[in-house]
Amino acid sequence: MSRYSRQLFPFCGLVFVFALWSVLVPEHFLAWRNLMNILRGASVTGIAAVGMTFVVIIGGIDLSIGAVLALSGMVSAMSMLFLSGAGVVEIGNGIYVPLSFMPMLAGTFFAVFAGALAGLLNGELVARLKVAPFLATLGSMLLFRGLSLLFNDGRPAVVSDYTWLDAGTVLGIPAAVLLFVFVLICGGFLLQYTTFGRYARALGSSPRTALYAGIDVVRLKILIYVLCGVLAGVAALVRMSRMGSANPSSAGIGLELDVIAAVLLGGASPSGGRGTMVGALIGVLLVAVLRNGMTLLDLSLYWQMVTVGALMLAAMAQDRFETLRIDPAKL
Amino acid sequence: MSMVESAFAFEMLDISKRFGAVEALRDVSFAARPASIHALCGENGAGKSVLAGILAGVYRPDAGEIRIAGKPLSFSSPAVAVGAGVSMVFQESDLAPDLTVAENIFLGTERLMGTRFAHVLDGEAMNHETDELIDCYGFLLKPDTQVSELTPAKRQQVEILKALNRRAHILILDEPTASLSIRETQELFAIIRGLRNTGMTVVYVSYRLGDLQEIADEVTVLRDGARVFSGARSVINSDRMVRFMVGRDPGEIYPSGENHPGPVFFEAKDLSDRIGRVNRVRFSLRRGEIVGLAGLVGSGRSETAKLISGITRPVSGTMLIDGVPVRFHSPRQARKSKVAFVPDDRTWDGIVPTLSGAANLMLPNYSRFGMRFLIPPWRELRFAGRLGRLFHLGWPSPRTRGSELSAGTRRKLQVARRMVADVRLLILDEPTRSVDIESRRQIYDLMFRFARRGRTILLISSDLNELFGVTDRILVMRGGRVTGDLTTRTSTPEEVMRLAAVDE
Repeated sequence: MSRYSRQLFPFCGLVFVFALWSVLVPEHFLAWRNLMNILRGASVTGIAAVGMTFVVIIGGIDLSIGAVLALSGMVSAMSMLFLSGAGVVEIGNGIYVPLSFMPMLAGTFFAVFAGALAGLLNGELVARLKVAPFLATLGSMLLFRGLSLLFNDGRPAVVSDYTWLDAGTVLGIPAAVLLFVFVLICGGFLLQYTTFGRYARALGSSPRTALYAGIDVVRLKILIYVLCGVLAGVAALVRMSRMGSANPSSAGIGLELDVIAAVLLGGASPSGGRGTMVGALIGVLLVAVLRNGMTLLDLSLYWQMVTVGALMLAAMAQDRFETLRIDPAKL
Repeated sequence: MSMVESAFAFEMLDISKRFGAVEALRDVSFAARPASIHALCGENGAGKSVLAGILAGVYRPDAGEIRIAGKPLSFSSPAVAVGAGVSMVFQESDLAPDLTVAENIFLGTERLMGTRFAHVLDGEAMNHETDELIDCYGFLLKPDTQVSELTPAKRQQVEILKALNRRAHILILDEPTASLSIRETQELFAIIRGLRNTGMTVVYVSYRLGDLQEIADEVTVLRDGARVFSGARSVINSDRMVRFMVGRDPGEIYPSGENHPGPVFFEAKDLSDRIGRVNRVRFSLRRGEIVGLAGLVGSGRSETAKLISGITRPVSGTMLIDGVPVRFHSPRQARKSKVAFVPDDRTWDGIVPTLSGAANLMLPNYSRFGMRFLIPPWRELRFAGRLGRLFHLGWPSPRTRGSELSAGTRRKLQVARRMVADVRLLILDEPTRSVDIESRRQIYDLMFRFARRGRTILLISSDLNELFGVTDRILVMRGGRVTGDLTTRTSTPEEVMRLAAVDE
């Protein structure tokens, strides 16, 4: 199917990197524990990447995704703590507070809700006010990050009892990974089998065609940014389970870079119209495996940055060459 | 079938439409009978695409009424028009390239499989129905091919299928044969005739007279936003059509006097561009000559101008200046060889709105007046003032912002500022389009004075009167090639039109 032809190259890349690390550091890399860790970490980026893929498909971008994650995390954690009877003193000093079931459930919903609201703001800015997505989400990124820091004066909100997404396993597979797979499948289904996804692809591919076909472009764009926010909220829950807290100064920092890199490396085109969930998966795994191997080889974080950055640029250049080939008048 | 009996499939009555300062249509009435192929023709800017666009719901008329099968309707968007049975196949393809044939055909009208609360796309049903449509009309297409992989002719077929799938009974085709080969054109005509025979009303918008002669049952001619003829094709031949399209121009706005061109100084030999719009073009230009470049939209005139002025690079062929081969890698290099280009006002608003008129005038000329780095404001204003008087720019003052200058002044400014430096070849693309009569007269005056100084002008224009009023020679282009090199004095507008529009 030519629909997935753009995923061939990244897939080969993933296989290559995997093989490379297997040869260079087999004892550490191929250990079950290590592989599970990669998957667990990739789940956070991955869930966010599903949302970002939709945004990129319509030709937009969401730089605020890391900040939305932080914000949703704080909203969720703070609400869980307050509803469990914690006071400002305990929250402020990171003292352990046992969490009861209902507050945790409520907190879970609040994370999604906060993400949706954040996405709504982005959507309104981009779709109704027609602010360029890059600039709009740059501004909202600052806004959301600032808000998340305000909640507990920059301090983390400790929710040690909220671990089910990380500790829980089904048949030995971490719950977070299952959630990631579930989100991927839902995203793929939405994209290929519903009018929502079809219209998103049409909009990204040819905005005028979508408009003339009677598609409500404004509503569609807003919904997509909301979806991205919602998924950032879900990713926040996974992270909270891993870390046992919501930390506004470190949660989601740099997330947008890894997510965008993953989405682009997976074959989505910045000019819109092209992108798949399979690609998102490959891209996320590629970045995660790459980083993991480099860490095992004791290569500094800085080398990782260089590598991911270079790969991102290569993916973008490749996309431009392909676009120019199809339509050379697009100089 | 329709509630009100009407002899017409649609009627457009007294339609007027204005875009800013330009009046595109003035009290135009246009109607077509069911099961007919009705051609809508006219020169560039005559208003045909606007009229078709209004029928298709792309534009809203400022005045007038539209009736479909006798019923008055108004279309707030193309989707509404589609709902009323009017579909348009646009000149620039209206498909999503990353979607498949079936996905495009069903865009907005998808077939769904329902569960209680969620509706899912029924891809199989849509592919199947697409297959049926394709077989019904005998196209060679597959439902799951990505549109980006299709040739223009096949994409057009997809667009026609899309219209048919939406139950169109009025199909508008805007310049459908622009990217088609002769064979593909014949195939298209067979399809159109077949559609007509099943009751479809086809509106065929084009200025290709050869096409119209072959395919149309009825013809309506527009000129300068007004209807000048409407009737059966059998009562009008090519010559009469041309005469209707061309008309006559009021008053004496063209300068009198003779031009005496000197020797040849510029030659283009077998120039071709990368995207195939210019195809082995050859011509020569003399000093002090004003040469017109005529042709229809899409004939490759602007693309040729871009090749000569360094904006794009030729993929083959040579250019010679004074017998020496030259290669331009950028407009900057072309300027060094004294070639300058003023693009038409649709592509590019060459005036910087936030800078003053003086700055705009001086923009390409600073170094000429000794201001390589620093720009003392008084110097700029002094030179600009002088030039403004010399060229009769008619601005309130050199300090007036670009955005506040009138259209005529802006155009004059763009032309004049290129005439300041020692430019030897000046290429003008539609310099007087949407400019008032007096400014036009002044621009022609500038052109003449420029030529008198031994400089050369290549004038791209769709206005035949202008070409015949101002030029010494006219080159005609069609389909990327030069089809004619005429001496203005001994030629006629009809001859130019024929070379531009009729496939030999």
